[in-house]
Amino acid sequence: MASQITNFQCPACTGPLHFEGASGNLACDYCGSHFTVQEIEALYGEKIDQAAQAAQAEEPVESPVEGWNWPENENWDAEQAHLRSYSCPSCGAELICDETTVATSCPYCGNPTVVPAQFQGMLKPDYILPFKLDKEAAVRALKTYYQGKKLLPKSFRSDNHIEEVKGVYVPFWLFDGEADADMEFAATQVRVYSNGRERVTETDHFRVRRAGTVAFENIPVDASRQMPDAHMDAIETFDYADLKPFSAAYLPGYYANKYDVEMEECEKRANRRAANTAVQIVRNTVGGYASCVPVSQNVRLRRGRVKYALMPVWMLATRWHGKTFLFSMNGQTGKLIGDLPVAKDLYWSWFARIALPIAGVIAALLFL
Amino acid sequence: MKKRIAVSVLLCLLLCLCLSTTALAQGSEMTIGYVTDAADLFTESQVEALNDAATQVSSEYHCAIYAILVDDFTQYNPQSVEDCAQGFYSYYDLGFGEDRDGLLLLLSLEERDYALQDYGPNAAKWFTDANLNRLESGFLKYFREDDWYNGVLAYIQGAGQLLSRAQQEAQNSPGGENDSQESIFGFGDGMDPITKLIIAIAPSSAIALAVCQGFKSQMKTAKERDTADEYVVSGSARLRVKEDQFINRTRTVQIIEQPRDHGGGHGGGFNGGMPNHSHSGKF
Ligand SMILES: [Zn+2]
Ligand SMILES: [Zn+2]
Repeated sequence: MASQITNFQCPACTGPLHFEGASGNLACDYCGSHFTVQEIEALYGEKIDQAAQAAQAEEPVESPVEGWNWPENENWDAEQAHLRSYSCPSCGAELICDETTVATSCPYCGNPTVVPAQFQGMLKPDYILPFKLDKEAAVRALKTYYQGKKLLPKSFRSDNHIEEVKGVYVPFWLFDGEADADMEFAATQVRVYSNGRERVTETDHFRVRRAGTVAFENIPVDASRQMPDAHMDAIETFDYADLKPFSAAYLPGYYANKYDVEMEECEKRANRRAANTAVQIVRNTVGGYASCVPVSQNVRLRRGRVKYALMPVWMLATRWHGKTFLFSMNGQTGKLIGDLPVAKDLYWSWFARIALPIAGVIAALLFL
Repeated sequence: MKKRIAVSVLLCLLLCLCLSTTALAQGSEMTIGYVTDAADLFTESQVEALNDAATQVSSEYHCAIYAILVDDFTQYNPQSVEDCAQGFYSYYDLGFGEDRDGLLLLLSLEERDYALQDYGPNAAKWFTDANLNRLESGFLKYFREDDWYNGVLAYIQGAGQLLSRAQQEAQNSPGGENDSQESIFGFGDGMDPITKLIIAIAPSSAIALAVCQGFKSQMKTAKERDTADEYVVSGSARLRVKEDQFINRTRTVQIIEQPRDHGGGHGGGFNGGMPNHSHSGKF
C-alpha cells in the first residue's frame, strides 16, 4: 500500500529539507545542499500525486483523540479536534495529525511531511506567500517587542520562557468586491459676527446626500478555526506582490492547515470591513460644513473573485506564572503582535508619578 | 376680520412710535394679554384657552410667557423679526414683576419667520441657549404643518416644563450662584478647602489615567480590524450622487455683557429692554 503522505528528503543525503525564506530555496539540514523550488517540484511531483491517489483509495480512519490546542484564547475551538493518523514514510512511526493538517514534521525523525490529499482538487490553494523570515527572526522580534512596555512585569522578561515557535502557513480567503454606499447627512454652516452689543450666530441647515462606489481587492480573512481572528487581523498587511502560485515545495519545514471555515462564513467579516471603509470614504467627500451628522445610510456589497491562499505566520507561545501567552508574527513583514500581562503595581506607580506632581502644582496655585 | 385689522393697525401705530424714540417706549400705558393673535388664526375661545394656559404658567413660575402672531412683522419694524419682537417687549412693558422676566415668541406668517427671546435677570438663568433650542424643536414641528393652536400650546407647555426643571435645579444646588465660578479664575479666593482639594485632584487624576491607559493599550495588540482601508483599489472610488440642499437658517443673538460697575451687586435688573437670548428662523 502506497503511503498517503510524502516526505521531503535531501536528494543528496536523504536528510530533512526545509524551505529557506532568505534564499527562496530548499536547504538540507545535514549536508547544506540547496535546491530550487522547481527542482524539488520535479522530483516530488509524482510522489505527491501517488500519495493523493492512495488517500482517495482509502479514506483515513478518524480517531477522536484529545487534541492539542492553543490555550487561553476564545477563538480556539474548544471541541476535541478530530485527528488522523498516518505512518511516516521515513521511519515508520505513527504520525498523529489534525484533520486539517496539510504539512507537518515527523516528531521522531524530523522529516518534513505533507499530506497531499489536503491540497488536491477543490482544496488546492490558488496562491501561497512563502516565508521570508526565519525562526531566529521571530524570537528576536519577540525580545524587542517587550522593550518600551512600561507596564510589563519586571519578572516577565526574565522568567518567561518560550515554549514553542512554529512557522504556520495559515489558510486565508482573499476577497475582491465592490461596495456602494448611499448616505444622507444633516449639515450646518455657522457664521458668527458681532456688532458691538450683540453676538449673532447664523446657522444654515442643509440636507446633504452622497452616494458612491469603491472597489476592494484581496481583503484577507483567515479561514482556520485554530487561528484567533484578532491575531490574524492584527498582523496585516501582507505584500501580495510576493504571492506565488501554490506549490507544495514551499511547505517543508513548516506547518500548514487547510481551511475549515467556509468562504461564505468568512465573507461576512470581509463585507463588514468593506462596508465600514466605503461609508468612511463617502463621508469624507462631505466638506465645507461646521457639522455633519449622518442621518441614514444604505450599503450594498457585491462579491467579486475569491482566492484561497496560504499565508506565512510565526506563532510563538511563552509561559509565565503558569499562564500561556501567545504571539503572532507576520512571516513576510515581521510585524509581531500579542497580548502581554499588565503589572498592577506598575500601573498605579505610574499613575501616582504623573498625578501627584500635577495635583501639587494646582494645589499650590489654589492654596498659596 | 374687523378685529384683525383693528389689532394690526393698533400694533403698527404703536410700534412706529416706539421705533422713533426708545425713551417713549418706557412706561407705556397700553397692555396686551399673554397671547395676542393679530393674524386672526384663532377663534375667541381658542385665544381664551391659550391665555389661560399662559397665565397659569406665568404666575406659577414668576415668568411671563407671551406669544404674538402677526401677518407680517415688517409692518411693525422693517429691520428684522428680532428687532420687532424686542420692540413689542419694550413698548408694552412686558414681563413679570419688577425684574420683568419673560419669554416672547413672535410669529410672522408672511415669510414664516419667528423670533424667540427671553428677558430679565432671572429668565437669563432659567433659559439657556440649549433650553431654547429644545423648546423650539418642540413647537416648530406644529407650525411647519400650519397647526397654529397646538404649536402655541406646545410653546406654553414646553416653557412651563423648562421653568419647572430650571427652578428645581436652582433650589437643589444652593450656593450655585455665579460667585463660586468666578473665584476659580481668581485661583481659589474664598473657596472652601475641600473644593480646592477636589479641583486639585480631579484633573490630575484624569491626565494620569489617560497616560496610563495609553501604556495599557500597548499591552494589548491583538485586535480585530473593522475596516478594509488597505484593500481599496486605488482610483476606484467614484461618487454617484452629490446633493447639497439648503433647508433653513436660524439666528441666535446674544447680548455681549457690558462690564458691570462693582459695588452695585445684583441691582442690574432689567437689561435696558434687551433680550438675554434671541433665537430666530423660519418655520
Ligand atoms: Zn543533504
Ligand atoms: Zn519519521
